[in-house]
Formats: sequence, structure tokens, C-alpha cells
Amino acid sequence: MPDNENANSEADLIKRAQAQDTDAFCLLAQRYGRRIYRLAFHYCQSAHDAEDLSQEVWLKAYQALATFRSDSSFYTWLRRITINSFLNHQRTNSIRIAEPENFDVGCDETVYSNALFRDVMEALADLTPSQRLMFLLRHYEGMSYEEIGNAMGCSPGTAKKSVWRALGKLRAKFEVGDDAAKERMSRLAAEY
Amino acid sequence: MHNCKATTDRITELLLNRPNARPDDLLSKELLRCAECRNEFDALKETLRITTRVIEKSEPLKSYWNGYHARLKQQLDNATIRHFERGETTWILRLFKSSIRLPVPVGLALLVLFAVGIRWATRGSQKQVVITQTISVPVPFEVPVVQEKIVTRVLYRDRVRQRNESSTSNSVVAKTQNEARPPALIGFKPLDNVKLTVIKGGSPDEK
Repeated sequence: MPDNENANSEADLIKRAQAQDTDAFCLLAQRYGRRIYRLAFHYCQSAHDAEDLSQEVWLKAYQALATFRSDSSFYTWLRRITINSFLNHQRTNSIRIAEPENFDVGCDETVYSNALFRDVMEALADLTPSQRLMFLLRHYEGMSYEEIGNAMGCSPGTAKKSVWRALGKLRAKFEVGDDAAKERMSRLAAEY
Repeated sequence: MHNCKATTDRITELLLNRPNARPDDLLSKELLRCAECRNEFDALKETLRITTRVIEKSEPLKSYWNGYHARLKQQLDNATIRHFERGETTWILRLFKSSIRLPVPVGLALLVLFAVGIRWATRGSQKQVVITQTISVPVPFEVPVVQEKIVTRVLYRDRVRQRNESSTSNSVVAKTQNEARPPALIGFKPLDNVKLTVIKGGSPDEK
């Protein structure tokens, strides 16, 4: 029942937003804003770029809202716009690593959390933008390889290969497991 | 028969879906059988657990979001103002950009109707062309032009001179004059004034 109410209120917000009600659209943005921002942040590796990119996504969504027909969920539709915006985004060659001081990593062990944050950010920065996006979509967004392939204009096999390579690089960065396991992981990633 | 590659594949997909997932019975048996796969499972699980934790937990401080949404609202309002400014032209653009969903059979039927309509219109226009060509054949029409000119002259002779001449040669000259005159002018008395009437063309009023 709460899900139904939630869905109804979302449908109502979408209808109002389609009638140029910016307040209703802002409520939608508040609902999914953090998720889109996190995706943008881990994709472009910069807090400033993440804000620009995520706001660009919302603006595009607002302008294209008239074309939304409820065939899929609002978030699925929004995620498609997000991926297209990411792919069109002109990134700078130098990747700026975000400062953990500006972020709430949600852990009492601040030193450990900050170190962990840096490690993960550096590990993600080592990936190519395409690998990073595919990994985020597969792992963080839970999309299938077919969905990733459709969204990014490649085959499911290519998407799987990229995700496995990204995972191999992340594992190598964290240096977890023994050498044989790491080697095997790299070999498997290369095979896919 | 244990297959490390297949087991690693299953482990990876399982953990990508849920980093904290527990292996099912079949996978557990495979992991118990092979130490390498067990290490693989632990390593991947740790990697994805750390990554997920950082991704999910890393977000700006709460104070950031108020400003973020205020800036977004400002941008949306600006976009709306621009939209209304361009309102008159955008509805035309929207008309051209908009699309409607149709079932394939209906779409095909409409396409066929359109093609038949085009064909029909083409035929109609072809017939019209034929008619137009028939009408436009030039027919020579000659307009008769009267080129005849009628010139009427009124002539006279000087009477004084005639008298002088008649005094010197009375009968001979008179005889000669009567002989020189054509029979139509016998008895003709010329006027004192010179009058010349030129009639052109066939109309009697035209002078």
C-alpha cells in the first residue's frame, strides 16, 4: 500500500511537472537527486563536475519530460538521460581526485574511512571512463549486461568484458587475495 | 567435475549483484572443493564490499543539498522563462518533433492509403496537363489589313493667265485647250482656294 501511494504521488508529481510546475519537478529531483549525483561523482571523479553534470541531467530531463510516457519507471527513464549526458560530457584529461574532507563517509573511524575513500577513488580513477561507467551501472545500479549494452551502444559481451576488467583492476589496487588469485583474476578479465 | 573458470564466473556475477550474498549449496560445494576458488570468492567479496561501501556512503554534507536544490530551481525557472519567451515558435517545433504511437497494421494501412492518394493525385494532374496542352495549341488567325489609299486632289487653273494667253492666240489656243482637256473635265470650273483631301484606310471618317 505505501508503494502504491508512493507511485501515485510520483505519477502526480510527473503530471504536474509536465505542466511546467517546477516545484513538482524539484520534488522529483529531491527524491532521486542523491542517486544521480553519486553516479555523476564516481563517474567524473570531481565534486564540481558532478554538480554540473547532475544539474545538466535534471535540466535535460525537465525539457524532455513531455516525452515521458510511463512505459518504464521514471528512474529508468531518468537513468537513460543520465547515461547519455555522461557519454556526451566533455571531460578534462586531468582527473581530479575528490577531497574526502568535504564528504560524509558515514563512519566513526574517520582516518580509516578517509584512507579507504582515497583508495577507492584512486582505484576508480585508474579505470577508463567507459569501464568506470559500465562498472557503476552493473554493480551500483544493478543493470544487466544487455541493458548496459543497449544504453551504451555496445554488445552485452563487450559490457561484460569491461566490467570484468574494471573489477580486475579494482582488485589489483586493493591487493586482496594471494598472487595466484590476482593473476587468475587478471587472466579471466582478459579472457572476457 | 570442478571447473575453476565457471566457478569464478558464477562467484563474480553473484557478488556483483549483491556484495554480501552467500553462495548457494552448489557453489558452496565447489568452494569447499577448491582453495583457489575460495580465495577468489573472499577477495572479490572484500573488493566489492569496500567499493560499495564507499560509493554508497560518499556524498556531500547535508548542508550542501539545500544549495544544490536552490541552484537547480533557479536553473529550471530560467529555463521556463526562456521556454515562454520562445513559446510562439516552440509549438511549431513541437508539432514537427512530436510523434504518436500506432500499431504496425494501422501504420501500414495509412501508408498504403497515402501511396494510393499520391497515385490518384498524380493521375489527376496528368489528365489536366493533357487538357492544358490541347488548349494551348496555337491557331493562326489572320486579321485583314486594308492597305488601300484613296487620294483625292482638287486641281485648279489660273484664270488670269488663261485670259492673257487667250488674247494672243484666240482660236488656236482655245482649240488646243479643248483638245488637251480630257472629256471628263469639260465644263469643270476650278475654285479659287486650294483644297486637298487625303483619305486613308477604308473608313470614311478617317482623314
